Amino acid sequence: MHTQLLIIVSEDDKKLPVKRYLLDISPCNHGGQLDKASEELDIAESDILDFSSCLNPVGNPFKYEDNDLDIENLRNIAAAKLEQYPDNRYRELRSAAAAFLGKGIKNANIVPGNGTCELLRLILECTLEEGDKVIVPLPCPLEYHHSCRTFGTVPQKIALDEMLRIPKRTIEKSKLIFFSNPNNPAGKLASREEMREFASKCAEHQTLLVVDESFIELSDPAQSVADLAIDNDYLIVLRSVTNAFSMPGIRFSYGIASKAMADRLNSARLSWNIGALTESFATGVLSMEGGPDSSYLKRSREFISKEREYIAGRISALYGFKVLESSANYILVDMDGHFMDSERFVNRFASHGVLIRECSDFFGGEKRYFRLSVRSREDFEKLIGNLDDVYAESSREAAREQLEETIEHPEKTVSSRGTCSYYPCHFQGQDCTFCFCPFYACEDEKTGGFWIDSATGGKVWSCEKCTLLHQPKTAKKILDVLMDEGDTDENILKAWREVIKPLL
Amino acid sequence: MIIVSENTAPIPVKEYLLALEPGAHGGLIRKSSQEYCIPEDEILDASASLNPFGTPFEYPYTGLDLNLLLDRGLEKMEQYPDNRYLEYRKAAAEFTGMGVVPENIIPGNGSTEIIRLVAECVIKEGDTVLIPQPTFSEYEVQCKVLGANIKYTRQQDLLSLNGDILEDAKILFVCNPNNPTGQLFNREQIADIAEKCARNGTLLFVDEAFIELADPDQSVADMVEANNYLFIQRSLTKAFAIPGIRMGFGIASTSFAKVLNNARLSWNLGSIADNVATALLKMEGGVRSRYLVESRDLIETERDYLTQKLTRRGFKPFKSSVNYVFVDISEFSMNSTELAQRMASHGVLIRDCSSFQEIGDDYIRVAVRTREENDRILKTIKQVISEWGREQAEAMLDANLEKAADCGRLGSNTDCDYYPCHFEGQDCTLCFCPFYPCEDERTGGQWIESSSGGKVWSCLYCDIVHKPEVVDDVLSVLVKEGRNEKSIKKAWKNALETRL
Repeated sequence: MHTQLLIIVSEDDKKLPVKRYLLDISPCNHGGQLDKASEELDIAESDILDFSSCLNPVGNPFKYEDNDLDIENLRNIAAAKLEQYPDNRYRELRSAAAAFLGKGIKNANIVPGNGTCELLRLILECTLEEGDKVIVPLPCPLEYHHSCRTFGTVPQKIALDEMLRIPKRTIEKSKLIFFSNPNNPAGKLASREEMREFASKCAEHQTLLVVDESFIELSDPAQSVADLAIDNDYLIVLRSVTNAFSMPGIRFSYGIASKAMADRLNSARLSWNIGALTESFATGVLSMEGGPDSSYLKRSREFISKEREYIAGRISALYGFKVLESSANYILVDMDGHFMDSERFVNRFASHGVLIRECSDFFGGEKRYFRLSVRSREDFEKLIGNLDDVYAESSREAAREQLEETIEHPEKTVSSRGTCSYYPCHFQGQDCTFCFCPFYACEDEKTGGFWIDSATGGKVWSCEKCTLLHQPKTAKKILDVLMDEGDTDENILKAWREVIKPLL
Repeated sequence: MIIVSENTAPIPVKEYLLALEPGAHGGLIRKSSQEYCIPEDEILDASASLNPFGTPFEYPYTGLDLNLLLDRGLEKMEQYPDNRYLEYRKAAAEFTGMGVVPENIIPGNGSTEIIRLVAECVIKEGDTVLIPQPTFSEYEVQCKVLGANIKYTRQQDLLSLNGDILEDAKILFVCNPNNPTGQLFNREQIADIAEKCARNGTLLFVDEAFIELADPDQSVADMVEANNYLFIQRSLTKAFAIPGIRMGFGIASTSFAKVLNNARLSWNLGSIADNVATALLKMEGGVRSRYLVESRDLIETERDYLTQKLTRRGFKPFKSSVNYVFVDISEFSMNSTELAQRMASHGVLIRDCSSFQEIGDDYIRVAVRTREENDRILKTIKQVISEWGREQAEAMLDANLEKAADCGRLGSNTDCDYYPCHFEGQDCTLCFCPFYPCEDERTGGQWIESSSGGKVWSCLYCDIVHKPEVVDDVLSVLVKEGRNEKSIKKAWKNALETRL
């Protein structure tokens, strides 16, 4: 039984001992949240198709025989060291990272991190002072924003296409510039030459450039500028094991910087940030023969390139989708011309157990883009197979919402929608109360409706030749029934029985 | 030819970071192994303070299988951990008990990360934090990374805190039980400190990393919900002795924990850490699991044993509540750094406490281990002291021989407190006998029982090397031929053998 002791807190009960700006911070949103999705959708994790995280689609290297990785061995090495504190110098790990990169990079240039987030935060901690300006591309990984916000800074966003042409004056005024290459979520890859020039420009104006190359091994590692950091105190390059080797459970990333910078960063970083298992596994994969050109990574890149081309082709062929050019293992799709918005689209797919990364948070809330990771041909076909249902359900959902709105506020509906660009979709003077038909898909050819082939290879019910609900008198009768007391669904059935059936 | 250019442009880090040194810590097994060329598995680490009882995996009754847990964690290698860490937080809350709920828990990739997270959320450059000395060095290091000013106070002052001491400190760090001293404040004392801090607008950060190995009933975890200005840190690495897996958690009020969870690094616990840690926290009984109860029993018994033995050797161990003992070694002319180095060269690591703020080089911290290991620690201490003693003696002897080389026998040393240790007029050149231990009872020397239970050669009843004529004969050999094995044998033969 513990003694109840009186604690007097400050008068304002809600007052917290944190910096003001932290009260508004929310955790960073990410793809790949299988557990959460499984719970929310009530679908088993194993039945979920995850296109929302961007891991190497060929899977982790332990599955393959063409390397000498031995998972048992690595596990045992780690297990033997569990009862000791790791060696905080992480010499072997850093040497493995340096050897992986080659090009004169030494272990003194390497800063180990428990994930890219930790490195970003470390860099900001070491460099950012109150009032300093930070530039990020639009779009960019949300972690850049999240990290800046934990320091009370809101970064300035510059369109991705304009990043490499930022005027000198703007660079000068900034303390730090983040650049994701290849860009996440857009997939665009700037060349080594372009990056070299940009890095020089930044160094000239004493602005620190942080280049996040988390996906470069799955894209084109020859474009990396990691080696340029050796002689440039104003360049830090970030690399990761998570995505390239599909090992997000083992969180390991590393920064490459000049010796002087790496030394300061290593002094300031969290001690023992890498546990024994991560150390063992990361060292193991980074030591694979061939480094970024190991047969595993080469094979991965080939696979990704081929499948990316295929899925980009297929999606572009669908009405309303535009695929942005990508060099990465994911594509960003613009659905501006589409009748659905990205949020509805992604949610519909989710209810079918297919996770897609909705990108409105990358674009300031604009529900226009989604990011699809490259997976196997088989998985992609499964995704596409769901498209018809998604459209149908979505239309139904939108229709339903419209219907509820109509029932709620019938006075708001206009009998003719003069402003609709499709008017008259059937005939002059048509009633538009039921633009979205409550009976869709009635599947009754007596209405004039019929089945057609869809672009995705399935069948879709077309209402092109049905005018029933546009007849003003019919529309009114249906509305009256629907506005009756009771369940909307039952009323819909009632309306069909009492109003439509007699007309057929 | 290498031309090194003077790089005059400053590197783009905050100025106060240029001089930042990472914290010093114990547990440097690999480093010591390399330095002293001793295989890692022969090193006894009494410098890191892990549970001497071993890991729970060593005890079948816990039902925990490390390999199974690792494998399960590895199976999930291709998945991101669930960043909400629901299971982990639930297990942590249940483990802690005392009414703590998952919403009070903040998962961390080890203590350092948790300290840094709190510091990040609370401190601006230039803010003051209050740190009682001596204590765990990471609080200071992490706060320095954020540009804080460190104000020091003494551990004793914590019991009489007032506005003058607290002033405008943003955080007060209290390590309970304290590292390195082993002192444990009880709940009431901490509650009192918490109240004063809250009134003053200072966050009280209580580091309970060792509390499971001391007395978990003294935890103040139940006080967080009513007090936003209280934060508690718990660690799993010490209690479960697996520092290779980085894991820990913070406990705070629901509102404070919410902000901290929003601000923390995403996915800070890897899937293996998540898996293993959750399993450990779920052990039946929580802080009162059989494993932890037996651990505490072992620690208490062995701590008493170690403390007693150290006292008998002339050391001054402080009263401790936990699995390490803070020892004052000022009676010995060796300082803590020297002692630690010499022990390391014999494969036993102890913690040289000179790296703790301003306590000087008279303190060491020794981990409480198993009986066998404690005996090895004690034996090594003895070895080191006698080696050191011998080195000192030999140095003195050589100094005396050098003087004697110039001006002959040194005569009586009337300044010495012990003069005459044998007889008036004795010669003191060979105060430190070159033949020690001669083990020859004809001299009058004999074996006696030592205070630690072994045997020691006593010269109490031997006065031969104080006799002037003997000294002259010894000197005539040693001064000419130097002090070495051969010359000592010769000197014995010439000067002593004939007289015995």
